[in-house]
Amino acid sequence: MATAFMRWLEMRPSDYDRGIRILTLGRLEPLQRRLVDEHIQSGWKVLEIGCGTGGLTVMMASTGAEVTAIDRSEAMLEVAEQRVQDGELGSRIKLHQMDASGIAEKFTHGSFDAVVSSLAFSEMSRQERQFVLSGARKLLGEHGSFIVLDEFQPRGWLLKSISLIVRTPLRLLTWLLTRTTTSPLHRLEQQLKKAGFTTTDSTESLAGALKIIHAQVSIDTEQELQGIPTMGRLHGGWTLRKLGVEAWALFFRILPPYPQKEPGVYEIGEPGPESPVLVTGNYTLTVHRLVRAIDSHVDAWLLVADSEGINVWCGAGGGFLTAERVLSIWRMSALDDHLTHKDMILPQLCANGVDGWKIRKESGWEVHWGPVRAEDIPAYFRAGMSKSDDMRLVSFPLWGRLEMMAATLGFYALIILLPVAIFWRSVFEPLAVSLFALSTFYAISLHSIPGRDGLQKSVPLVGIALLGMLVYSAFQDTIGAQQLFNRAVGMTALSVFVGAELQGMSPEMRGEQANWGWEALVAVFLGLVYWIVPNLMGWR
Amino acid sequence: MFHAERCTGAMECYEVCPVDCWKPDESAGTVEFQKAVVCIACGACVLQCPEEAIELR
Repeated sequence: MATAFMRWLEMRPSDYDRGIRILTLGRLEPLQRRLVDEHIQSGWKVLEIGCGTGGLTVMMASTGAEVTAIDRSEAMLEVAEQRVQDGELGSRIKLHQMDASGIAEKFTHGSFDAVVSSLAFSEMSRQERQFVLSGARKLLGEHGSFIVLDEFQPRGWLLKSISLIVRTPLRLLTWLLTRTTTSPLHRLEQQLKKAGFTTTDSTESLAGALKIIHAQVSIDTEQELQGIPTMGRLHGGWTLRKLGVEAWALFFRILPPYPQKEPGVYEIGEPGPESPVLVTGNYTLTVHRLVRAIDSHVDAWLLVADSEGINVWCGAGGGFLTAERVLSIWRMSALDDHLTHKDMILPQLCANGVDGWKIRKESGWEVHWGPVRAEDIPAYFRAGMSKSDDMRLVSFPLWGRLEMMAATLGFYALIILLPVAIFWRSVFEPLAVSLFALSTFYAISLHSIPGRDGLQKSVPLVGIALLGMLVYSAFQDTIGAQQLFNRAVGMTALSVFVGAELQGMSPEMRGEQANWGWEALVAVFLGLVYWIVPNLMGWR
Repeated sequence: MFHAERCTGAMECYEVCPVDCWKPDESAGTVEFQKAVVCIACGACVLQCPEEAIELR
């Protein structure tokens, strides 16, 4: 069920377009039209960063511009490709699947008249924006234009509060309908200036929440960013904030929003040119644990890649943490120019989604697969960057099982128990007690229950649950056969369900979807039993 | 599914497998898929094998 929920969370391109239309109250398209009419000239060579489903791309090409459009999402580009074909604009539009951080490497410097972006900069981290802006500056000639249409944070407390009141329900609604959300930009002008642009013109809509900013290359100030653009030093100690995040995550980690660390390069201890480079995802809990494990043992550079707040293993498996994301953060870090070695250490558990050979090929760096657990990193370095068997293998110790149990219980409480408490009061108590008892029992005794996966293990679990239910029922004075039957069906269903859930949570078993077919059969069988037996017995 | 004849001994699969499915054969300089029963089908070896010698089925 947790996996089904995660599936639902995944966004499709059509959802994205719908979501953006709601969030911008339908104002986006007219503004894109205006951007093209006022700023794009026929015959221009234009680079579009983050073209998404290609709405603006097609508009620009229709006015006679030659557009090179990039996006990192293959699914979005497929939709864009279709639009290009429908508009018969193939001769004027080139689409590339790539990360925006790679533009300065990929395209010839000074070869574009304009760099355009619609709603892509608000999806980047501050550091990424600065890097991409510097890249865009290099691609433009002396008279090049940079035009961005994006969401901006309103200025002044009054507009800010109005925006908060209007936007919060709108964002929630949009997210529920389409799993799309955005985070408005602020202080883009300063970043533009730093990258060597002068803002010449801006057009506002929705009280400044949507803006077109037009900037020109400043003749004299081509600025190169100096040194390693570090995001600061991370410490292993506890703070109130960290405690709060961890407490929330203990019960509700399955539910978004996932706490995210801003992607970028961070320092742990006092790293120098010879210090090792570690890579991880940007789930805040992951970063906390990693830093706690190595702070004061190892001085290192930490590259936090954008995994959309998802842990390393699931992020890599789900296509969120990829070689492109790692390369993107590596390029921005400028570590290649400042370190005496070319080695990066990736968490072993991201190997299911981060293509090590792609990183080796594009960066020229060597990729090392570090230990599975962050706690083993100091020992890994002491052993000269070599892993013992123990460091390569996943385990699911009691502590981890209890942690996962807490996370599933938090999920059950909100998704199952809350609705039941409101709409079906009578079963709330037995359901809550059974879920809690079964999960706890399962988490503690997982390794002693026979069976290779959640489904096999749920057979003995059903037996134990039924036994528990019978013992409990024996202490009640009046209990009829029908009630006993209902309880038995309920407990059987719950046991199979809890077994499947913990399979999804365990690193030692295949994902729970491996058994979905069988579980559906069990559900249908139980449904039939629940329907037929009372009729046979004449209870209805 | 492991196409052993394509193995060139990069040992990436052994490095990244979190459940110990791969056994290095020191003398031959290759690997053996030894524990299909513990495989969790995470796909790490499939992605990291430089010879594309591994398939998930």
